Amino acid sequence: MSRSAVNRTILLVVGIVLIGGGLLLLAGGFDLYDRLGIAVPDGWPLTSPDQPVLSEASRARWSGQDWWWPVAIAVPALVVIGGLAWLWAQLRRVGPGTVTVPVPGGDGVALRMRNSALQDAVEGEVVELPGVDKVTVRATGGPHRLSLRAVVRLLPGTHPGEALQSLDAGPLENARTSLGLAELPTEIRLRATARRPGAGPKPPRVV
Amino acid sequence: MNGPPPDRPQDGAPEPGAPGPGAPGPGPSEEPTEPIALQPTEPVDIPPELVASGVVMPELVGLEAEFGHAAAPPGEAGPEEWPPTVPPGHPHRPRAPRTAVTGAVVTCLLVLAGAALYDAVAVATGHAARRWRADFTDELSTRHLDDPWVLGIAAGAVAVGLLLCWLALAPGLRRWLALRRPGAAIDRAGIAALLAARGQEIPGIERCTVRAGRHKAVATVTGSAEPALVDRELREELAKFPLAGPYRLDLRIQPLRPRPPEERRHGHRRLAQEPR
Repeated sequence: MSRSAVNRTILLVVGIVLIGGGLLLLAGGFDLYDRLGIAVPDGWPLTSPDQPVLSEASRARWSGQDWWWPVAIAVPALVVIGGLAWLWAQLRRVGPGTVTVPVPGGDGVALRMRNSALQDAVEGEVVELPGVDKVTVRATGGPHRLSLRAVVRLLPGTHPGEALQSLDAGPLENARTSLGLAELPTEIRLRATARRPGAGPKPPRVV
Repeated sequence: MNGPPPDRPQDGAPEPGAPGPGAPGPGPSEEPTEPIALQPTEPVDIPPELVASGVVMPELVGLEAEFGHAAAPPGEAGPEEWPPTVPPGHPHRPRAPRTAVTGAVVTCLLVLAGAALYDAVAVATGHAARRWRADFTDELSTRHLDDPWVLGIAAGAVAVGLLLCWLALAPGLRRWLALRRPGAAIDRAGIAALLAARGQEIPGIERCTVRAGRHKAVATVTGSAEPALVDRELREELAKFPLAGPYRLDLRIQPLRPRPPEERRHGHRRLAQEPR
């Protein structure tokens, strides 16, 4: 599961729990069951506006059970462990540290390239394309499912469709073939600058 | 004056039964299919507009390109037509990772669960409950459901829950627009910058500012140029973007007001230079 999917699942679960608890309290507090004539099943909590949120009787009912203390310790412990694991995952680097490059004719030789070297190589080739002002390439994905993410800034007068086409046909295809991969899925984010390359530096702001 | 807002020429999906060369091509130029129709056997004669807009792949030339792709609606190119550097799937806007808000939620959960764990362990090992826990359970057992505090907190929890669910489901990243190539997106400010740069080059245009929204771009043009010419030029520029969805262009022409050049923008300078 990708990092985004994990984050969105956490948000969704917490949101649903908050909505459910809040709606239960609101329905009981405004006496909606009686007013709307809804028959609630037995054991449905928080049905009357005159009852306390957590009565002594219901507290004693749970805390008298055998399983109460193990559960009361295990559930917060699991939440704490999960939260710490989430925080730890944020510290980890995105993407593989090194990438294996196939060596033609090299028997038993494993050539590994650092991630940043791959990023620099692709960036250097993309910048050579016409109409590209600046590019940032990040290698993401696992070591066996390498993928790239490129942010490309275009110059005015560039044809964005052609730029995409030449990106796919040129630097990205070269990276794919030289890494010996069947596919190299690449996300591309295009941006554009309003300044032409020959326009020189921005005039300084005079106060 | 507002320009007519028809859809881009790409969005008119050609009928499947229409003859290939006569179908409206998605390229920005008006006659993208003419060279192919005239000389279908010439192998290298593909208009770059067709290649750029993703209709004709470079290796498909001649008759194959004409019959295989000229009538295919753009944006529905199958995954087998994309090169292997294109991620699978259909074009869509990138989704935000939601790291910051998840970090806030996880921090709240850690604090709450850590306190609950500490107290549970303390009570289970024979110590007294913490002061805050005793107060909290006291409040819970004395306040009734129709207490304003209870109702207010419940309403707040529902509101926060709705916000979290919306954040979890909405894609976010509204500044990006999806392109037809899967996995590609373009900055809305970038579209505005490129359109404005093109508008500035039209002779007779004094100023051209573009605001690019999520569904349409509004170009405000000041100058003495012919509105039809400006409209055509800007639409030509907009057609270069292989956007995944429909996108409109509104043109607003402002009349050229004669104004003294240095006075309005640098009023303070004029004041400073005036003799006292």
